[in-house]
Parts: sequence; C-alpha cells; structure tokens
Amino acid sequence: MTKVTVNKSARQENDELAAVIRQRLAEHGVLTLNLVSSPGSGKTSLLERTVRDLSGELRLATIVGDVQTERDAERLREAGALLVQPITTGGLCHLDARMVTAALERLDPESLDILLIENVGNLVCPSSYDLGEDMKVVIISVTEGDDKPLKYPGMFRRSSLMVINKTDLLDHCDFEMDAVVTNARKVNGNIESLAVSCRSGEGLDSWYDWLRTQHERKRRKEPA
Amino acid sequence: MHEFDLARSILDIVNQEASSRGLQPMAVEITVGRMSDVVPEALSFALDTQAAERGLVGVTFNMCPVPVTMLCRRCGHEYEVADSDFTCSGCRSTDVEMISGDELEVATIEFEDRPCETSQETPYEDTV
Repeated sequence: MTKVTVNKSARQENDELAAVIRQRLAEHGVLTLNLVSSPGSGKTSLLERTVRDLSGELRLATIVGDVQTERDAERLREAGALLVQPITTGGLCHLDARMVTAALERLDPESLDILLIENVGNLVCPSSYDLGEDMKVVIISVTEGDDKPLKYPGMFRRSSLMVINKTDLLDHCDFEMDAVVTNARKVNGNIESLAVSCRSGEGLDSWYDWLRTQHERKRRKEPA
Repeated sequence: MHEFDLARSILDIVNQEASSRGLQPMAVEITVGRMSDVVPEALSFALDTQAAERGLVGVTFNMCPVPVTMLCRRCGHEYEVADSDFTCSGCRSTDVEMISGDELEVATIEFEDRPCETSQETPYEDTV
C-alpha cells in the first residue's frame, strides 16, 4: 500500500468557477451580493422594494434561485428590475457557481451597477458555496427568533451584513434587537447590521445608503 | 442534501488521482471541518451509494472531523470553538480569524501497489 497526500478541496471546481465570475464582474465594477436567509424572511420583498425604489438611480439586475416555480422572478420583473434571470434548482438546496455562470450568459455586466443574487431560502447549504459575490448579505426576520446567528453560525460568520426585516412586527414577537446583534457579533465580530421593514418602509433608507456606499467602493475598486 | 453533490466532487478527485497514477485506490481520508456545513454521516452515506457508479468498488472512505481553531489577532491566543461563540477565549476580542474548521478535503489516498486492471480513463461520462 502506498499512501499519498492529496489535500484537494471538494469545493475546488465551484471555487474556480466563482473566481472567474468574480473577475468578470469586477472588470465592470459591478457590485455583486449573495442574499441568503431562511425561507420567508423577506428576501424577495426586500429585492422588490429595492428595485422599485432605486431603479431610476442604479442599474439593478437579479438572479433568483427558487426550488420550484418562478414566482419570485415574476415579482421582480413586475417591480422593474433591469433583468431577472430565474434559476429553478428543481429541489437542490442552494445555488452554485455553475448555475450562476449559466445565468450570467444572458446578462451584460457592462450595463449593470449592482447584481443581486437571491439564493434559495436555507441557512445551511448556501453558506459554503461561493458564487463569485463580493459579499453575502444575510436577512433575518423578527419572527424567527434572536438566537438564529448562534444556531446557524456558518451563514452569519460568512456574511458581511445582517438585515433584520419585519421590524413592524417587533411588538408582537419576543425578539430583542440588542440580543440578535450581540449573538451575530459572537459569531462574526465584523458583521454590520441594519433593521428594516419592507412593509412600512422603515429603515430602508439605511439599506439603500449601504448599497450606494458599497457600489461606489466597488466602482472605485476600493476594498470593502 | 448537498452532501450528494460534494460526494460527486470527492469521487471525481479520487478518480483523477487514481488514473494519473494508474493505481487502484483502497482507502480515502476526508477531512471534514466542523464549520464545513457537512454532516460526516450524510457524506459517508452519499459516498458509499455513489462510489460504485463512479467506478470505485471496494474503496473505504474515512471521515476525519476537524475542530474549529481560531487565532486572536489582538492577543495571539489560539483556541478551539465548540459552540457558536467565536470571540477570543483569552481576551474576548472579536478580531479573530479561523485557522481550521471549514475545510472539506480529500486528505490522503491509499493505493494498492499493483496497477489498476481497468483502463486509466475515468470510467464514466460526466453528464452534468
């Protein structure tokens, strides 16, 4: 018997594709965000509002992953996204770089400012698949419980921003804003956080400002 | 269920290594970090069920769990994380980096010392 040291990552193929995506989008200064959350936290609502409110100012395109149906993509088309590329994963629990590569064939990076990739609603599997994004943004809603970051540390550790959604329901939930931020920072000391309500519009301005700042940095090729 | 997808990548790596050496693989060691979002039992099951159709018969897959090890950038303390609190166990700083614990790798492969009997080509078509 001969024992050979290999040390090859099982994610290597995905990571290589992701690197190609990242480089291609960086050449055109496109800010690329991978939006992750559990199902029902309001990813599509956040994107819908964002597209509706910022379309006159920034050129936004979306890639939307859904296990079944194109309902989310339909909502974003109606909101006026420059381009909506749906990916129906057919049961697969996450998007991977191969799917995004295929979706990007129909997008022209030169005509874009921001690419928003809506991942499949799942706080486990999507966290370790690099899609070539600049950053992951994790969305959590106040109905989910403020201990989510501790229960799904991988996702919160790999995310740069936590958007806390549905703040209009705070009075009806045992959700402590301070607790969720503290828990997220135990997992990831660098994570930023924002509180919004897609329903009432509260806090969305700070999300838009964050997007503008990140896009400007990307355009100037400054580190995030 | 992403373990099935990852198992396929692992089997591809094993096949590539085997065919480049022309040797029959016998045992594969896989390092699974605790933060790799992979359940070792599920990966093991996925490997066992897909190995034969990828031409790898009689190969043993061994999972080697890797704990999460962090390094504090402020005080230099190196420590393991067993739960979800990644802050430095020495000085409570949050300015920390992960040294290990998120890997998912084919670490080693043991080969039989006689050449593979079958063709050196990988014995399947990648249809994806």
